[in-house]
Formats: sequence, C-alpha cells, structure tokens
Amino acid sequence: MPIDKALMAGSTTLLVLSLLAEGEKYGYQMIAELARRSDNTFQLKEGTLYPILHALEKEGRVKSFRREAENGRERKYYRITPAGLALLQDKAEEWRLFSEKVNAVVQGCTPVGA
Amino acid sequence: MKRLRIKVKPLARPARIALCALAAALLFLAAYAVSGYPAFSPEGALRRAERRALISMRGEILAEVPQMLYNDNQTRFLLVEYGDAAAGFYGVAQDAPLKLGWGAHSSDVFYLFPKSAGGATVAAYPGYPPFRSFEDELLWIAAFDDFPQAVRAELSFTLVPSDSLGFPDAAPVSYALSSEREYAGIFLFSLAAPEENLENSSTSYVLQRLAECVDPWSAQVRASTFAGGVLPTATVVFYDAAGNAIATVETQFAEALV
Amino acid sequence: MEWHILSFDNWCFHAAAHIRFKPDRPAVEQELREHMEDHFNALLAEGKTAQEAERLTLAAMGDADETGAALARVHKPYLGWLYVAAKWVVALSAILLFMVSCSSGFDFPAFGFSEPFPMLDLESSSSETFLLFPQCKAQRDGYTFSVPLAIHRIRKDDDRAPYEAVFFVLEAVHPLPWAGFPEGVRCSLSAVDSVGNLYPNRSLKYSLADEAYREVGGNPRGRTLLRYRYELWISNLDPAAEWVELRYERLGCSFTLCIDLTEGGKRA
Repeated sequence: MPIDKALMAGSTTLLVLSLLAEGEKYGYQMIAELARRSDNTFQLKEGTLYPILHALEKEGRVKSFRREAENGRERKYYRITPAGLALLQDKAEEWRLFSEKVNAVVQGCTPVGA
Repeated sequence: MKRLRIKVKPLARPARIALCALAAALLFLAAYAVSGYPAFSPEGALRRAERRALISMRGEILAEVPQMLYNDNQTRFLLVEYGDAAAGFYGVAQDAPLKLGWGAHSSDVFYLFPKSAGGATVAAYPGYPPFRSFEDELLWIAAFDDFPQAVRAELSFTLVPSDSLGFPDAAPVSYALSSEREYAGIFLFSLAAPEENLENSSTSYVLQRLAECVDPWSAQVRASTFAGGVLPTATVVFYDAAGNAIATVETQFAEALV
Repeated sequence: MEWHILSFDNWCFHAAAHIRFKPDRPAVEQELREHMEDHFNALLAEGKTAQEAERLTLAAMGDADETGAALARVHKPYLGWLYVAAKWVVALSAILLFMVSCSSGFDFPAFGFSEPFPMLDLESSSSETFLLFPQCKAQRDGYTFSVPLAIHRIRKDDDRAPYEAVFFVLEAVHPLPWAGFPEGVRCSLSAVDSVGNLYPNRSLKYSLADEAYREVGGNPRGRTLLRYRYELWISNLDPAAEWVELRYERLGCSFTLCIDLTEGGKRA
C-alpha cells in the first residue's frame, strides 16, 4: 500500500538519522536499507535524499568523507555526529509522542458502519 | 616500499576566506611599506612631520600653496601656525609610487621658527623642494601677522653681505615687495632670481642663505653671510581696505627653532 | 562492465544546474551520478535489461528540477561569491605590490642595524674605553627613547691634551611603522653633566674646527620595522663629570635621559 507523500515528508530526517546511527553509509546504501527494512513500503524519491543529507551536513548533524565501498568504487559516505545523535533522540521522542496520540485518537473512535 | 599518501583535508570555505583576507592584508601592508609609507594627504603628511619633530602640537594650516612640479610630482607648500609660540613651513611632494600618496620615505621638509612679539613674524623659505641654485625658482617670504583688517602689506629689507664672503661685487641690496592678502593670518611675498650672472654674484648667494635661515643646520653659514653675523631686519607696513597704514612692524628675519 | 549512461548525466546536470554558485555543482553532480550508477548496477544484478534498469533508475530519482530546487535552498551561493571576491582581492594586492616595487626600481630601503661605531678602535692602547649600559627610558609623542649602549672614552696619550667623550646609541621605538625617524631629537638634543657644564647641540655650532667646543652631535644609523637608531656623541666631556643628562626641550615639550658614567659598565 503506497504511503501518502505528506506523511513521508515529515519523517525523512528521522529515518535518515536512524539509518546513520547504526553506522556509516553512502547514499544508495541508505535507500536500499530503507526499502529492505520497511518491506519496500518506504520508497522515497531518491533525488530528495541528497538535499536532506547536505542540509544535515551543513547543520553539523552528519559528516561526509570519501571511501572505497564494497562495490570497489569510491563513494561519498556519511557518518552521524554527536549533534546528529541528539537530534535523532529529539525526533524519535517527537515521533513516539505523535504516534501515541494519533493511535489514542484513532483507537478510541468506533466507525459508524462497523 | 609503499608510498605514504598523506591526505590533507581541504579547509572549509570560511577558513579559506579568512586566510585570503589575511594574505591580502599582509600584501597590502607590504606594498605600503615598499612605497615608503606615504601619507594620504598633505595635511596627513604634516601631522606625521609634527610627530617626528616631537613638539606634541598640531598646527593650524594658514595656506596650502601648490609649488612647481618636481620630477613630475605635485608639490605643496604649507604655512602653519602654532599659536603665539611658533610657526612653520612644510613642503611635501606626491612622490609615492604610482602617485598614491604624499611624502614617501619621509622626503618632506619641515622647518619651525619662533614667532616675534611685535605683531608680525617674517621668515624666508625657498619653497619645496629646497633649491640649491636659484634658476627659475622663487624665494618666498611670509609675514605672519596679527592684523586681520589689513588687506595689503609692503615688505622692505636690506641685505648687507659680510666682508668675509669675498665676492667682488659685495654691496648692500635693498628690496621692496608688496602683497595683497590671499590667506587669513599671513601675507606671501615672492622674489624672483636676479638676472645677472649667478656664478659671481653675492646677491643670489646672500638671498639663498636668507632662505636657509629656518634650517637648523645652516647656523654656521648664516653667521658668515651677513654683516655682523646678524640676520637682516624687515620692515612690514600693513594697509587696510581704505589704503590707510594701520601698523608698521620692524622685526628680524626668523631663524630656526632648535 | 562500466556503463556510461547519457540520460543519467543529463538528469544530474539539470538537478545541479539550480545551484547558483557554479564551482559547487561538480561535486553534487558526481554524488548524484554515483547514486544512479549504484541503483542501475543493482537492477542489472537482479536480472533487468540495461534499458529497463535505466528507465527504473530515472523514475526512482524523481523530478530533476524538484531535487535541484531543494539543493539550491541548501547550497547558498554567498560564501562562494565571497571566496571568489577574496581571491581577487589577494591577486590585486599582489599586483599592487609588484607595481609599487617596480615603480621604486626594486630598491628597498636598508633594514636592520650594523655594528655601532665601527670607526672606534675599542682595543686602542692610547685610550681607555668603558662600555656602559644605561637603564634610562623616556617617552615623547608615542616614541620611547632609550640609550642601550654608551662608550666612555678617555684619551690618555701623553703627547696630546687629555680628552674625554661619550659615544652612545639613542634608540627610539614607535608602535606605528610609518612614524619615521624622530628628527626633532637630532637638532634639539643637548646635555648637562654633574659638574654643570652645558653641551649644546651641534646645530648651534658656528665653527667646525673648534675641538674644544662641547657639543652633542651625531647621525641616524638604521631602522627596523618599529625601531630607529642614532649614533651620537658628547664631545669634550669634563673629566670630573660623574653623569651626563641628555635633554630634549622644544616648544614646551621635554624629556631627559641620564647616562651614569660611574656604574653599570665594563672595561672594553
């Protein structure tokens, strides 16, 4: 089931930071990992990943460096910084609160036709 | 043996901009130093000369007169007043490389002399740059006065060469000069070079020595130039707009303040 | 096998073209192209044809202009333009320095100090020489004056009249490199000794031949960026003098520096 773009937009930073929190990755690796973990539910437009990564780098949340990837070619890797980890915690907490309250509202409403 | 590859991380852009700014500042200062630390205006150059003269004073500039071109450089001749205590002459040229400033390598000249008590101080100066021969150049004589209502002045003096000079034509020569007021606080008189042969003329020699009276290093020559080793006396008559003589002052030509 | 797909280059070029500061574009283009290559190779590995892989990769990237607009919002041009301007300023300053140096004929004024009083023979047997290091200091018009070295010379030749002099280095320091030599000091410095004798400035001297004349005289001798040196002398010193005080006095401004002739020195 394709997910509404609007729902995706707000969570991309959280998703990217979570992936990087586990270890350094390059761009396509993040896309592939995201698709794998979400059973292909999350298939964001790949071009939109890089503005997010570059913005995070400018804010000092991630750091980039070039290294040889497992495919033998040199790629630009990203690594999360302590500031990035702090932002991740905030975002995760925000998400947890948001989803808890949404669930609370949705579960408390009985559909009329049921 | 494996070659060591030292990867130098490129500097961030703000750091590079800061380094460029620093490099530009250093290059600019080097250019400023090589060009002889010129001042940016004749007045600025005067202030530096006043500091070098160790007098802790800033004079009032009564006149700024362009002089002749010197080596294609513009020159200025400033007449300065230091209250009632002293007055000065300052000559400077726009001789910095690329004509970007004044008085490069301290090429300016600054002469100080005490003011007389009678209401007028008379001093002679050869203009800038200080000449060594009289060709095509003028002798300037300034009368610093305390008569603001005067619009015209007449200066007269007699130069009596010392006997020890040895010129065959040595004889007293009298001068009478007139000037209209151009600047507040002073009258400027100019005297052109005499027309006769300069080589054997005591007239031009004596006039040149008169011009050097404000130079502290000409004391020994001054003493042997004028009769009695005494500087000549000038008489200045000041006239108001109606043509009436309002004051007559007799004062010796000023000599250097040391 | 290395694939070079033109449509990938086009997509990356169009996306990066939104970035206003041109030198920032190649790195972003390269990163996007590498991403598309990785996706393309992954699709090939799954068994897709090259054409299919290319189509799917392009579709997955999304709209180049949309990505480009987002990149432009992140990669602002201002620091880039400032860097270019800064490089121009450096280049122009270097050209200015070169032109000014050419204009002065590459004739740079001498810098640094040479050995003071080279004409004095400190080993001379006809004179006694004492090196003094006075600790005096004075300030005037931003200059700090001191006498780092003084040489007290006593001629003890039996054939000639006794004669004493002090040769000394006068140093002036000013924090601004364009201050210049404090010329006022050269024509207005005089001295007084402990006995009460006056040593007037050489500028007041009327006869060069008079050796008995007491005077303070000398010349400028070199400068560095902030320091200026004069080599001066006090001639015909009174043998009874225990100290000499240098005096500067002009238009109400004055300072003094004292040279003690009895202490703080060593025989040459």
